[in-house]
Amino acid sequence: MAAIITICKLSKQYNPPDGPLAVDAIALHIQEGEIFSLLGPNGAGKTTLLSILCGLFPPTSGDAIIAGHSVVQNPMAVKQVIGVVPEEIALYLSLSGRQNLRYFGLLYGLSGQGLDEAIDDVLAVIGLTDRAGDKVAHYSSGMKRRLNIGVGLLHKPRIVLVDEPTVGLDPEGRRRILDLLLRLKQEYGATVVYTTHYMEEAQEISDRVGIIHHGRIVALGTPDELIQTIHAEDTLRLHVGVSEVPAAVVEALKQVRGVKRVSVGGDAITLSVLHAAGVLPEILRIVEKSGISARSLTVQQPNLEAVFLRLTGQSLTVVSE
Amino acid sequence: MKKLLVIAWKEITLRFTDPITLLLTIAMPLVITALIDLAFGDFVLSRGVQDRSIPVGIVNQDRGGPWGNLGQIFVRAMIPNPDTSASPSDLPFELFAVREIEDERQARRMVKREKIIAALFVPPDFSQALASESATVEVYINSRDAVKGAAFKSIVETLASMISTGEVTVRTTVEGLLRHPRTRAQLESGTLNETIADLALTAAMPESNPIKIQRVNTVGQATQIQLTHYLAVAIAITFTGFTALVGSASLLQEKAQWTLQRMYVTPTRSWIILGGKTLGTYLSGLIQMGALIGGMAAVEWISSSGPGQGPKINLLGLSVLIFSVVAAATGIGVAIAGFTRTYAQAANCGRAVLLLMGLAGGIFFPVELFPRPFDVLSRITFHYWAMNGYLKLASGGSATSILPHVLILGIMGLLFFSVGNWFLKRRIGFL
Repeated sequence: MAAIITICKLSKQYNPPDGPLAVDAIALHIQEGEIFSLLGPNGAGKTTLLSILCGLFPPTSGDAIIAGHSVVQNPMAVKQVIGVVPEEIALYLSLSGRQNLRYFGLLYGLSGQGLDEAIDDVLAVIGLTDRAGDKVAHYSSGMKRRLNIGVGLLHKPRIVLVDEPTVGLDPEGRRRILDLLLRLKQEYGATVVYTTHYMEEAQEISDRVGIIHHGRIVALGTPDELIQTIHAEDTLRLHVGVSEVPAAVVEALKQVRGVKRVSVGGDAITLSVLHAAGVLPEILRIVEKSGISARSLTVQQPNLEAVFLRLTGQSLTVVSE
Repeated sequence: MKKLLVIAWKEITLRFTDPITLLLTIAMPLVITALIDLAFGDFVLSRGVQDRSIPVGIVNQDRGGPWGNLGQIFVRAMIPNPDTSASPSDLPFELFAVREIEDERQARRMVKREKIIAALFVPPDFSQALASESATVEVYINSRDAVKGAAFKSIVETLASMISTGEVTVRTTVEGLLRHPRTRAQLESGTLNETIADLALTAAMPESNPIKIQRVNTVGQATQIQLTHYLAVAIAITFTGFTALVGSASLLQEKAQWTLQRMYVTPTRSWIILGGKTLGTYLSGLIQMGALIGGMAAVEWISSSGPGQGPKINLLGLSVLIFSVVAAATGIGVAIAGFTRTYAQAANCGRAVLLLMGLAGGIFFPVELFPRPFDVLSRITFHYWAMNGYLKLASGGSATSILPHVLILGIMGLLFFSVGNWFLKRRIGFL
């Protein structure tokens, strides 16, 4: 697959020469049709990077080539192929949803029947057809978020830059937004560059993730690849039907290949394993053979939070707060 | 170009589809005007009479009559005798700096060139005509200062009344004196003329004035300005200034709400965004000004006088003036927005600045009431040129007579816009 976005040693320093370096020599390739997440805490440089890509700021050095156009030399051509969804609800609240879409559609160069069709299509995609005539001020937070995304999709862009689209939403609203982003990729073949500080979102919908910290990409790959790079262990917790686990069972579990540690507390056996899916059948067989009934089993896999923690020494959640 | 109009139209739509904005920008000024009309409907503006150095002239061409040179009485009444500190009459001529001018043409030229604001012409046959039946004097007024001229004319009228009643008294007295042999001889030799003049000055019966005062304006016939009209226009200018300010400052608001950035990330050039926003602000100001002027005319029509009772204004001149006033207001709005950091700061500080400018520019009080330095200071405000242009039109001025006002307002708009735009672009960063 060809790279649709190539970022070459891109840097951005605010108020040079003494100002903070928000983006520090980032080099990156983003493939066409993938969902690429930039994961990092607030202030890591995600929004600055996205702002440079959409032409809001010029970089201090470096360049980015988007669909063959340089953001430095030909930003107008770049703007033709990208759709931008800012973190803020960038809408006119006293206008209706349809009026907002019409206004920005006209600025994207759409007009006439083409514009009407584009508005109807977007309203259907974001599920706001029935409320299109209402003032945006009367929308719920989730509806505003969806319309905010819809504006960026009007001209059917090949690339959609989405900045923290789920901030402040309840789980249901968040789910709808994530589904919408997946549809953009699956049904429209769009490339989605997505920034978030919610690691579970990035892990769920991304083809690849770039972890950004202090303006630098500190890790890059698929979620699985990133997790494997830190060689983290799964935690397997087994609740059994006896109050005291026989020592022989504990010893047998320790002998299983891939099991690192076994500890017992009350009716629970906790095992640290390298790959839970691989060792789980053998563990269940040993427990069953010993005559103990298993009441429940939970597997906690390492996640991007752990990756971030391992790479930066900081918790993503704590840094974000 | 299409995108420019799209952005301008959005500005207008946002402004005039919001009920609260409509209430504040159109309804409220109209209500204030209606209330002022109810309270001060019959008040006539007497601008300028407090000015203690209004230059006027008198040309006495009177050749005299049976009772001497009665035209000289005007001169003596208006110009104080340097030997005595006492005023020659009870009339408030101390408000005027009266000078006697020999040549009629020179006096007219001085009025036209605004060296003096008015001149009184006493014709050669004044005494003769007054002795037989009635006489006419002419008050020649520069229309630029029609209000001061009207004040001068009013005092001349009172003086003429005093002279004429004095003339009747004198005639009766002299008939009595003529019957006396001794005084008859003195009258015939002319030695009693001074006494007769004094008699004329002290007699003050206002009825049956045989002296007609003819008022002539340099440009057409001046109209007295009603206080209501003055304040209505002042309110329209003030509120349009506010609208221009808020419209210009909305760039900062849109930046804070990210709609400006969203416009910018579309394939739209930054000058189109700025141009569209400014055009929208300008058109909103025009719509508001038009609605207010039209609405205020309607208020007056409904409340009292009916159609045609207001000042007869050259509509072309008024339209051109409105275009230029809104241009200046928009420019100043952009400048104020350029010097502030946030929309709230621009809106709040800007309103205060505009009110101060309005005060200095004669929105609330005629600038003639201010002492000299402030009078000159007022000329740097667009309010002054707007009000002055309106007063000129209301005094019968043509569209060409306000060309300097239009030019100055246009230049002000352009200048302030350029400066403000430069600061705004720096403030916003990406435009």
